[in-house]
Amino acid sequence: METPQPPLKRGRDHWDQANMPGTEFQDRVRRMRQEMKQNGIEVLLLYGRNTNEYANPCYVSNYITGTQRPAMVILSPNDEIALIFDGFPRGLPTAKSRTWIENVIASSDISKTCVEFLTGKNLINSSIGYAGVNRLMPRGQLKFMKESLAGAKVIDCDKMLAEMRMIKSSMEKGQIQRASSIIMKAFQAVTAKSDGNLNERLLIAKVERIAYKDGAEDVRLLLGRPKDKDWSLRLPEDGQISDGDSLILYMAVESERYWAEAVRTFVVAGDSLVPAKAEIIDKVYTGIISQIKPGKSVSQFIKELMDALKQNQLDYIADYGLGQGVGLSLNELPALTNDNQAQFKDGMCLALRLIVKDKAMGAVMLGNTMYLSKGSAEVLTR
Amino acid sequence: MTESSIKLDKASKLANQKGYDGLIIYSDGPCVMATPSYFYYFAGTRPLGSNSAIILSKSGDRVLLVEPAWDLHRACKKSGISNTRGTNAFAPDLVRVMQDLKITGSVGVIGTRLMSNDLFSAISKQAKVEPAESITEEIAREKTKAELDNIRATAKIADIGFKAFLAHTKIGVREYELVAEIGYAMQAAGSEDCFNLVGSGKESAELHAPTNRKMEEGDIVIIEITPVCDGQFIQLCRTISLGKPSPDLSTKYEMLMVALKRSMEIVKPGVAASEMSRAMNQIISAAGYEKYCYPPYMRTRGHGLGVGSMSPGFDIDESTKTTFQKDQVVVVHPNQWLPGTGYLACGETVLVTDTGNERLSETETKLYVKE
Repeated sequence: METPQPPLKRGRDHWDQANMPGTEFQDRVRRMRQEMKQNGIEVLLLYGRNTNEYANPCYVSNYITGTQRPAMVILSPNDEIALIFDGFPRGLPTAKSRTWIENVIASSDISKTCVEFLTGKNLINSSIGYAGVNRLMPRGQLKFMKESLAGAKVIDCDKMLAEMRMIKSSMEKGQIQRASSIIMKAFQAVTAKSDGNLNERLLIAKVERIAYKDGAEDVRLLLGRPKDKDWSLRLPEDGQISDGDSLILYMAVESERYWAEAVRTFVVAGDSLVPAKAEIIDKVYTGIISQIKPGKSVSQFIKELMDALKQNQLDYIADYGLGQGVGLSLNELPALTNDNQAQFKDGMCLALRLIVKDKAMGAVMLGNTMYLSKGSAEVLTR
Repeated sequence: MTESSIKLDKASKLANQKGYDGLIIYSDGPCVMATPSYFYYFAGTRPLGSNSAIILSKSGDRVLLVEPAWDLHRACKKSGISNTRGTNAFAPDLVRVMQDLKITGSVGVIGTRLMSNDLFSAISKQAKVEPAESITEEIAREKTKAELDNIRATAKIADIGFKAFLAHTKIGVREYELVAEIGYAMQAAGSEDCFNLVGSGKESAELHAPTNRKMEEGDIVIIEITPVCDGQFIQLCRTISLGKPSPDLSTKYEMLMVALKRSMEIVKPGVAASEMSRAMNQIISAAGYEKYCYPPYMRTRGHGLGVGSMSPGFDIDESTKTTFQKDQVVVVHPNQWLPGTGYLACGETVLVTDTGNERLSETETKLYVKE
């Protein structure tokens, strides 16, 4: 789901190689080279930038900048691989400690460094796959790339990368599980009795502190006051939270590059937040999770979900969507939209959200991250 | 009339003077320290999604377009722009708004650099795009009372961040735990976000995002504390010695404090920003570290901080051409990598006044020691 990007990932930047060994990345590179071979691609450029769109180069390198700055991985023939990051040479030791790739290059203009690299390898006129380049590279740099690589055959590889990233390995599942457990610990802490000063800013600050101290690399929190007129999920403001209020908390946590998300609804009782009691939506939500099965199309699943909502006379709010894949990004495949004919597969990691109107609370929202394996969905944010 | 509305009126007038059929003020989402947040400046609210724009017509009509669509009511309320539209298909809807507002000939765009190639191409088909960032620079040059109040309030939050830094820097604490406490203290005090870089060890190479590292006896702990309120960043750079500092560290930090004092004295209206950098480098060079004042060791000696404008620039070094002007917010930091101690952090944010500058934070400038 869309959340505001921070100026910097504020949390723990750490590569625990027990959780994600170099061999995992090397295996991805091997599979990627197979795809390249099948598609006649000699060079693959994996480009990413900012705190949301870092996934493509990170998928094979583990590297992220943590800021708005970009990075690129170049897969070239003869098993050569290089990482270029936007930054100063003094950042090289830190960059090298975050990746298994040996050839790491600091650059003030990735497009120029990339072209120099390809020229040096005599690959300027080869067939070059672009992943993330067209969509994310600043216009001026993209123009330079186009002009410099005018003799190359450029092949769009966005879909290829997105589909590779869609199916998660057990190592990736482990990372998403760790992010999920940070969320659940933070949600549990929300329900602890407050010191009497319950306001939006302080509540969010406390939840973020818990998550960051638990090792989160990035935290995104939105809240909603569904009893308010024209309410929506938003950032915290100055408002006090009072007895009888209802509150929706959306929380996404990134841990060692991988995201999980969950949503819960609370009611305020005295100076404490209590999980909302909403048995029907809970029942529908739990029931529909059991219907997520490999081989079923996303559109069929959504039809079944909508039928279940109708049968239970629940008034669905469509604004926030039902969810999407999560992993190195909060916006991966598959998109849970009613026109998506793609089928669920083992290894997918999904965020499934559901929001319905509620007479007493205004609305109730529930969301979890789940992993598909052995034919069913395992909820990670339980 | 709100401040945002007054700013938009000024922008509209300037766009008309330049002969544009309309003006687009665009944001790609993040509110970052190194570039102006044009959209935030004019809308008076932080963008929530990755595409937002205010579109002004020649006749003064204004539309706010926000993605995701569900942010519509919040954005409308916060910006005060009654004609706010939500979208989940930004580029075609932006073109549609341009058509509705009869923007066909030329359109000034503030934030062209932030646009994706596809978005730029889409609006270029509707009207000739003219980069118009200079409009913001002209309006943002003068700070309003509310902006000045916010600058001072944000500096106080940086002081609160420093107190948390001092309280939580301890042997055994990990970098990320320390930064979590600083972030919490500032958020609880009203900061909407922050940009805190840290380093610890006997000889840090640079400031970076917090790592797993546990602090140890004898560490030099460095920090850039940078809260942001209403889009305005304020920075404070400090160093703590965990244990009695070596004579070498004390001498070097003393030298950086002299460099800071001397370079802050330079900051006044009409003086070239490069002079601030030169003054700093002279002190450090005189101590025998000239080669470490320049790339690849060091680059910038300070930068502007602002919502609508970064003037006098985001990289102030000896080649900077601009001059200091009243109301500019400038961080002056002789942060320096030195052999034997590694990277040391020492810096203040100042507000340029009529005759000099006002130091914004109250935290004493010194080498802090925790034994």
